[in-house]
Amino acid sequence: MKVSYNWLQEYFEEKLPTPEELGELLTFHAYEVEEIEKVDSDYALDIDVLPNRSSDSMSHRGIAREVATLLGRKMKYDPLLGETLEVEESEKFKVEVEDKRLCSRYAIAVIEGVKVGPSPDWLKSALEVLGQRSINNIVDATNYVMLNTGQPLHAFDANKLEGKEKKIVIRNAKKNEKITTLTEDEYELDSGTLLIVDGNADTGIGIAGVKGGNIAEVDKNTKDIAIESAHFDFASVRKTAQKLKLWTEASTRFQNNPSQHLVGYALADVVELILDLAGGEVEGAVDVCIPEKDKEPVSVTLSQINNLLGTSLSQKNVAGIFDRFDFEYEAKDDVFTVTPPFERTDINIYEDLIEEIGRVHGYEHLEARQLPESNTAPYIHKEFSYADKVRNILVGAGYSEVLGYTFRAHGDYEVISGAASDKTFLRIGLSCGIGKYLESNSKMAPLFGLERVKLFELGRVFPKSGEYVALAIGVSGKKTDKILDETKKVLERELGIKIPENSKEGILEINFSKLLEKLPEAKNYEGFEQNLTPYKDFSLYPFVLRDTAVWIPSSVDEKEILNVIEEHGGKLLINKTKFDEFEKGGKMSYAYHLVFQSNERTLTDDEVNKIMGDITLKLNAKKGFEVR
Amino acid sequence: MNEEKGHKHPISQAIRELTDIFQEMGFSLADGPEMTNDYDNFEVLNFGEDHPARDMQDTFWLKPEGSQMLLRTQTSTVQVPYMLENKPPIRIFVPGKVYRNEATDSTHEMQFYQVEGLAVDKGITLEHLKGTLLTLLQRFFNDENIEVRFRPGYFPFVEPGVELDMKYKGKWIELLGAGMVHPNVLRNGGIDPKKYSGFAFGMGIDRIIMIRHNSNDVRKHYDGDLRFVNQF
Repeated sequence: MKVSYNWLQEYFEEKLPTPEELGELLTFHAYEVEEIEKVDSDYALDIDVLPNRSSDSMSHRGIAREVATLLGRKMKYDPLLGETLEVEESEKFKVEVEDKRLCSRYAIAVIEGVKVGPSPDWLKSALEVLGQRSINNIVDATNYVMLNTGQPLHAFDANKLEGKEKKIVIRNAKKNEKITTLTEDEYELDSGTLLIVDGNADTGIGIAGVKGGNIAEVDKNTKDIAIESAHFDFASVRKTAQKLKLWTEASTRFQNNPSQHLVGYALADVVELILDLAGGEVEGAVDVCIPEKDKEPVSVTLSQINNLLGTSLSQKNVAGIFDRFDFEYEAKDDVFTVTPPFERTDINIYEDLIEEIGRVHGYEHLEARQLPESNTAPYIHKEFSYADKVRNILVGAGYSEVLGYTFRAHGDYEVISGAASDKTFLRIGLSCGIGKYLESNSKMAPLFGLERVKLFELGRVFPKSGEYVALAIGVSGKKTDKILDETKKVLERELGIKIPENSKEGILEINFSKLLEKLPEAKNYEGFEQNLTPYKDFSLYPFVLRDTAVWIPSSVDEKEILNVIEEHGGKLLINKTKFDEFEKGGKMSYAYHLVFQSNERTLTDDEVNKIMGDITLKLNAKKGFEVR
Repeated sequence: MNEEKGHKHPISQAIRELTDIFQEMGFSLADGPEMTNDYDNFEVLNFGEDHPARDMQDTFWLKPEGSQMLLRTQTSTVQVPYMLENKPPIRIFVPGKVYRNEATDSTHEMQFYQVEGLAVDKGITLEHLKGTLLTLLQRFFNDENIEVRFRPGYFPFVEPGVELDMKYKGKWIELLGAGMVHPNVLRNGGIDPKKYSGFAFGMGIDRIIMIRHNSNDVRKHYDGDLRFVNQF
C-alpha cells in the first residue's frame, strides 16, 4: 500500500523525520516499508502492512497513528475521534439488507444538487502521488476519504435508480446474473456473490465490497447522489474478489475486516468534503446496522511480558509504552488491563499486547541468549541415521544423489489444481524419475568424465496404500543388472540385512520404510565434512567430444602429454578423461576423451578441428611421440 | 573411473550438517508425513477458518474435492502431533519437503525443503530464539561475524511473530520467519500456555544453500541434473 509523506505530515505539528528515517522506524517496529519514491515535492512510501495489522493500518490515519506511537508524539487530529453523521432519516431512500451476517451495516447519505466537476489541484496531486487517477470531484472525494480512513466508499447517481422512492437492496446474486462494472467489464455471478441492487428495477448496481456497476455511475450531469459506506463480511468479499479475479482498493480493505465503526466516521468525512468541493445539500441518511460487540478489555501482567520477551522492563516502562499508543488502560500493581481502541481488531489476547510492547520497545534491545543446557540428550532418529548411511554407501560406490519432483503423469492421488497440466499426480515410486534422469544425464556423461551414469534418490512416494520412503538406484549403459546386484550386495553387507527387491531395466527400487522396520535402533549419525565450495554456473551450450590416442616412449611421463593437451586445448577444453592405456615394445599408448564447451556460444566443428589439429601437431613434434 | 565417488545432494548435505548443529544445542530430529490434511496443516496451527492460506491458490489440495487432504505447506505441521506425544521440555528440528502451489521462477519452487525448529519449556523467551538462530547461522555459514536482527512479522501460529534478517558478508538478507508459539497451538498440543512457553522458526534449506554457495536458481535443485549436483 502506498502512502504519501506529506499527507502523513498533516497529522503532526512537528516536522516528521526524513522519509528514509520514517521508513526505517516503521520497518523495524511495525511493518516493512519496501520502497520510497520521490514524486514531485512529496514521497510515496510503499508499505507491506502485515496481515494482522491490515484491519487498522490500510490508511493514512492508520499509518499516522503508528508513527505517533513510535515517535511518542500526539496526532494533531484523528478522524476516528471526530463526529459521525448526524442528519435526518432520508425520505427518498430505503435500504433493505437480506442477510445481515454478510452485511452487518449499510449506510448511505443522500446529497442533492451537487455540481460535478474537476477536483482542485491539492486533491488531484494527493491522489497522483499514490499513483491514482483523478476522475471528478465526487469520485475523488470518496477515494480520498477511503485512503485517509481505510473505509471504502462509493457514490451512486441517485437519479439513475428507478422509481420516485428509491430502494437499495443488498442480496445474493442469482445464478448467472450479470453486471457490468464502472470500467465496462461484464461479470457473470453466482449465488455466492453479494450484490447491491436497485430494488425497484431489481438490477445490480454494484458488487458488494468490490466494485461499482456502470448503471448508476456518477457523470458530469449528475445532480443528486447517494454515498454508500458499509461493512461487509470479510470472508465473503475475499471469496468474491478471488472468484472474479477482481482485486480492488475496496476489496483489499474489506477482506481484512476493518472495524464496523469506520462506517460512520468516514461517511461524515466524505459528506463534509463533497459539500465543500461540489456544493449541494444533505437530504438525509439511512443507517441499517447490527452493531458489533464492544472490544473486551485484555489483561497482561508485567511478569508475563518479561517472561515471554526475555526483557526486564519495569512497570513504568510498560505504562510508558501503553501511553504512547494512547491505549485506554488501568494499571493495578503489576497488572495492566487494556481496552484496545475499536480499530485494533487484532488485539484479543495478552500475547497480542506483549507483541505491541516488544516491537515498540524495540527487538534490537533483545540479547541473543543461548538456551540453558538440556537435561536430556537428543535421541538418534532411526530413519535419518540409516538414510544418511545409505547415502554415504552409495556415494562411495560412485552414485550421485538426485531429488526429483513429486508431481508425475500417473499415480493414485491427484491434485485439484496447479502443477504442470501433464503432471498432476503424486509419484507412486521413484523409478520413473530415476529413469528420466539417467537418460538426460547419459547424454552429458562425457562432461563428467563418466562411462556410465549412476544415480539414486531417497524420497517419499504416495501409493493408495499409504505414503512411505522409497530408495531407487539406477545405472545407465549395458550389463546394469550385474552392477546393481553388486551394489545391492554392498548395501546388504553394510546394513546386515537382506533386500528383497531385485533390479529391473537398470533400476533397483527398494521400500526403504519396510526395510527400516527390520533394522535395529540406530546408535549415531555418521561423520561428514563441511563442504563450502562455491557453486559455478554451468554452460547451457552443447559440448563437443573428441578422442585422441598417443604413443610415447615408456621412459617419458604421461604428464608431458597432458601438458601439451592443456596448453593447446585452452579455455574451451573443459574435461579430459583417460579411457585406455597399454604398453607395447618399449612404448606406451594413452587414449583420452577431450570435451570442449563454451559458456557463450555453440562451438563449430571447424573451431574444434583446429584445436585438435594444433594438439596433434604439437604432440607429434615431441621426440618419440606419435599420435595414432 | 566409475570407481570415483559420487555426490550427495546439497540438500542432504545441509540437513546432515544441521543435524550436528542442532544436536549440540539439544535438539532432536523429528519428522512427519508430506501428505496430510486441512486439520493438521492449518486448523491446529491457528489458521482461522477464513484464512487466505486455505484458499486454492497457495495449497496443493488433493482429489476428491472436499476430502480436505493436501500436501503440507510447512514443516510446522509436525508441531502439534509431536506435542501431543511428548511432554515438555521439547526441543526438536524438522527438516523436510514442503509444497506451495505457486508459479515457479529462480527463487520459487512448487516443492522445496524447510527446517523447523521448536523449543517448548518453562521460561523460553524471544531472547532464546535470537540466540539459537544466531548460533545456528554462524555454524552453518562457518562465519562468526554473522549478525541477526528481528523485525515484526506475522504467522498465525506464533505471537509475537518476527522476521529474521541475517548480516552475511556485510549485507543484510531477509532470511526466515519465527516467533513465540501461539497459546492456541500449545493448547492444541495439550500444553498449558500459562505454565510453558516456546519458540518456533522455519528456515528454507534451499535458500541457505543458495546464499552459502552463491547459486542462483532453486529449480536446479530438483531437475536431476548432475551438472548441478556434482559441484557439491
